[in-house]
Amino acid sequence: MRCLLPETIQKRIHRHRRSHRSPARSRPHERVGHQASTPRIPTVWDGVKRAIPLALAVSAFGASFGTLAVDAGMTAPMSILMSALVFAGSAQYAAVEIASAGAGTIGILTSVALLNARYLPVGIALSPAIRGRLPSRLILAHLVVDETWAVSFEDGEPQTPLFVGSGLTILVAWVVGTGIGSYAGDVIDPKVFGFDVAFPAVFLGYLARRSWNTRALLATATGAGAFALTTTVPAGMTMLIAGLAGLIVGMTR
Amino acid sequence: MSTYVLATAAAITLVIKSAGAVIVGARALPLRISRAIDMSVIAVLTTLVLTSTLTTNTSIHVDARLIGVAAGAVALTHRRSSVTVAAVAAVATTALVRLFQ
Repeated sequence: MRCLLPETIQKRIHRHRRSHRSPARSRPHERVGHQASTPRIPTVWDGVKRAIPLALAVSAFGASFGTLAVDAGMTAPMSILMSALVFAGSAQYAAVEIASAGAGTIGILTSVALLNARYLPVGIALSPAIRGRLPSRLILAHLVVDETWAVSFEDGEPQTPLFVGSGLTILVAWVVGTGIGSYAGDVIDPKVFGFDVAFPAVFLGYLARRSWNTRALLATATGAGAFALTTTVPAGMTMLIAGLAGLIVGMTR
Repeated sequence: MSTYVLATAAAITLVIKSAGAVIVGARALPLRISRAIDMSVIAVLTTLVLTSTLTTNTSIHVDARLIGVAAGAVALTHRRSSVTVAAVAAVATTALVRLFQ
């Protein structure tokens, strides 16, 4: 995991460890610094802990996806590879379902692009946490999903350690879940255990904990308005409409 | 699904996910733009909450999920309860309702 972390994050973690060194082992000038109250910097482990409740649900859905993919004619290694490389639940479900219904390459790729379009604003919102050189940024950007967005913010800013910790946890849960489903079948039905509501509950939780003003309420109303179009527009379009409407709300003076 | 389609789907997804990190990076955006992105994410997340609570495929269905998410919302009204507690309350309530349905 160390090699995945950009230099800037490693420095921050190193600084954090230094600031938590035992006073007895600190040098006098360090003790002065230790006494000054500094805000606690979240660690990668904090991100892991925040993501664990979601990871359980994600692995159950991964198993469900793995079963669906194999039933639709994909090999188990291909479905696992898809989860590792695409790492976008709803788009993967749609791609496999559309492919098994006989859709062509263009249809599959269009649905993937539409369902993932929401990751554009989500990726921009998370961009302060995605640092380092271009290769590092591309590797870290792979971890951009709804779940990492939901748990990576602290004091209104996305935190790199929280993003990395939660992203790796969710990625591992998704890939391992897919592997279990691909080889062992649908061992856990996520709907029987109620895991399917873990996502809206967590998203609602992080929405509720953020700071609110009239504009944010208006953005929520536009999201609800976009949802009202569910029965009239293709899957994925509602979120694209919500994203665009939210942009307009934010740009308006 | 061929390897070619899978690789292209992965590439499309990565381009979308990384656009922000590559184009914007760690630079501070103008206030208006960062506010617009913030509002866009709020709107998308609201739609996502409603969609995963109330829809099955592309039709609206009111079922145990709504009761579960409502239980999670009630848990959130307590200041000390974490998002994890809310998620556990939502999952447990939904599973119970489905058990007795």
